Order: sequence, then structure tokens, then C-alpha cells
Amino acid sequence: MITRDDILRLFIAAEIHVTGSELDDHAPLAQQGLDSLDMANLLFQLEQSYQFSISPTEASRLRTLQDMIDCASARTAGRAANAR
Amino acid sequence: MNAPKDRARIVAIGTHIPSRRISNVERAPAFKIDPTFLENKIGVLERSIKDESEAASDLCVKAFHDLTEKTPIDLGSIKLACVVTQNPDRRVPHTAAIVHQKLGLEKSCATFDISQGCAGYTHGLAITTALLETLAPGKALLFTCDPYSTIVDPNDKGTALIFGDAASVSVLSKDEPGYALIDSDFGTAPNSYECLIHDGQRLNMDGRQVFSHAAREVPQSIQRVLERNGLSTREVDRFLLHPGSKYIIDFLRGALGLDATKVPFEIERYGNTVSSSIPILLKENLRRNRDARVVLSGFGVGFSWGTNLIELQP
Repeated sequence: MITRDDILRLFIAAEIHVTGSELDDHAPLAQQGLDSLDMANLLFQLEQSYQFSISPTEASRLRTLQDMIDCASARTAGRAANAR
Repeated sequence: MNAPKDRARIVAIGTHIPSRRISNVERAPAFKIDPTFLENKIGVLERSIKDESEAASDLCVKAFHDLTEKTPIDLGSIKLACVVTQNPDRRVPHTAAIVHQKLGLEKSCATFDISQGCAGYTHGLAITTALLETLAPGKALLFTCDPYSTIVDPNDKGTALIFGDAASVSVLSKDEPGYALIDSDFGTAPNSYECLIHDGQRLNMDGRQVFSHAAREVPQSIQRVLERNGLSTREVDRFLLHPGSKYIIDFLRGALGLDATKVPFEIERYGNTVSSSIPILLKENLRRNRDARVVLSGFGVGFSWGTNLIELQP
């Protein structure tokens, strides 16, 4: 299970300077100070950290912190199930 | 491997950056882009734009004239002319043949184009080096020219503030001191060509995908070349990486653990000139530093990349 803190660590890796308490998990990150390049870097960190690739269609749906938690959880859970 | 005396070397570079400029600072508000983002992330404040009547071959000829102002060239010694472009004058013939005619090159000079984008110079350098080393005595001209002003939609937020027009020509010779190609690494990410594509009307770019491929592939490509040659980043004087944007260069500096002195970003006043970006940097670098060992890395359209290790040889 991927946690909120796991995703917030990706913000640090992407050098996006926001604190977790400032973020609304369900509001678009683009409305909370992240620009398109911050988002590109954040999704790259997500791909790298959890070893999956994000399609253009999928990327357009990943707008909030909660979207990222859900996506990473689903993709890593799917991998764990396949491994079994 | 060839003995050093048989190595082709880059001995001189000419460039042409059109003097006409379009201000990104003035255009940015129309895209709701703030000045901080423009300056710190895109990193292009104004873009060089060619005259509408000029074709790629015209810009190549101007780059050649820039070269010959400082370095006289015997046209009869040119045995090879290659133009790296994805924006040729015409579909037929190849632009190198048009440049051949405009410069009055000799019958014995081979001409061909390479369709490559931002990694074009690194591909072209490897190909022309290999060919020149198999040819009889003579020199090669490696041109680059991708005037994206002809394919970018000026109202497209994703591409309108990035690209500038320019051309370059590098002279390769086996008989003079200069930079010799030591090693290269090339590749194309599977299933990636749609990230930067011309749809018949205009250029479309998926900036997120381009960033992701560059962030993943470029540091690895550079590390492969360094490892094969037993080098650390400390033993390379300069890394001239394709300046797609300031943001990607900042990212790559961080990934490689290098600073702005070693990885310059200098396109604020003309933009991302695609296949010409690296030779423009290399020309300036040659003039200012005479670094002994340099890594070049181009990446983008494809999504393809190319990394060259070059060394100054007497």
C-alpha cells in the first residue's frame, strides 16, 4: 500500500517545495502551485520509484495527490498479485 | 582502431543564428505563462527566426560563410557534405545536393542528408567521422539546420516559446588538430515516436513524455560512455547537453552531480535550435576554453539520443 508520505517523498526528489500540510489531497496540483514541468518531474519520479510507465492518457488523469496514491497502489498491487 | 594521425577531427565550426528575434517575454502573457516560469524553467527569453523566404540550405550557406570568414577552406578538398535536417528545402532532392550547388563543391564530393532531430549532430558526427576515415585524403562538412519556425504553430502553448532557427557547419579533417570522436552511445526508446511528431499541419509535443525519456535515458547513456572509457565525470572538462529547456538541463546537472560551469545553458537569446544546439555550444566552447575532453549528448525527436566522447588531439 502506497501512503501519502511515500508520494510526498517524490515531491522532494522532484525538488518541488511544498509542505504536506499545505496540500489538499483531492484538489488538482496544478491549482496548488505546481506547473507543467513540476508535474512531468513528479510523474517521472513516480515511474522511477515504482518501476512502471505512465501512458499519456493515464498521465492526463493523474491530477491530485490522491490520484497518485491510488495509481501507485493499484499498479504495485497488480504486480504483487502477478508475482504470486 | 585508427592510429591518431588517421583520425577525423572537428577542426572548425561556423554558425548562423538569424538576427531577427521574437520576444518570449512579450508573448508569454498570451499563454498565461508568468515571467518566472519563462526565465527559470523554459529559459528562452527570445527566439531567433529566419526570413520566410529562406530555406534550410540558405542558412547552411550562411553558416559556411561564417566559417570561411575566419578559416579559409579549399573547396576542392571537400569530399563529403552531410546535412542533418528534418526540415529540408524540398522532399526531393536531398538538401546536401542543394548546398553542394550553392557552394560550388566539386563533382567528387559525396552528398547526403540525415533525418534526425535534436540528437542529429551526435549521429552526424559519428557517421561523417566513420566515412571520412575510410575515404582518401580530404575534408568533410557536417551541416545542421532545422528551422522549426516553419512547423511550429505560434499559438501552441507547448511549443511556441521554445524553438529558434539556426544552422551550423563543422569541418572534419584528418590532417589538422581538433576534436576526435573517441566513443558514442545511441538509442531509441521503444514505442516512443509519438512524443514529438509533425502531424502534417504542425509540430505536436508531449512535454511530459519527452522529459521522462530524457530524464531516464540521457544520464544512463553518458554513464555508459564514461564507464567504457574508464572515465569519471571529473575527468571530462565539459558536458554539452542539448538545451531542450533550462528545466531539463537543471535536472540533468543534478542527475550527473555537475554544476553550471561544466554543463552550460546559453540559449536565452535564441532558443532551442534542435540539431544545431550542440555545435553552437561547441563553437563557443572551443573559442573560450579549448577543453581537452568533452561529452556531447543530444536527445529528443524519436525519442532518440546520441552521446559522443570527443578529445582534443594534435
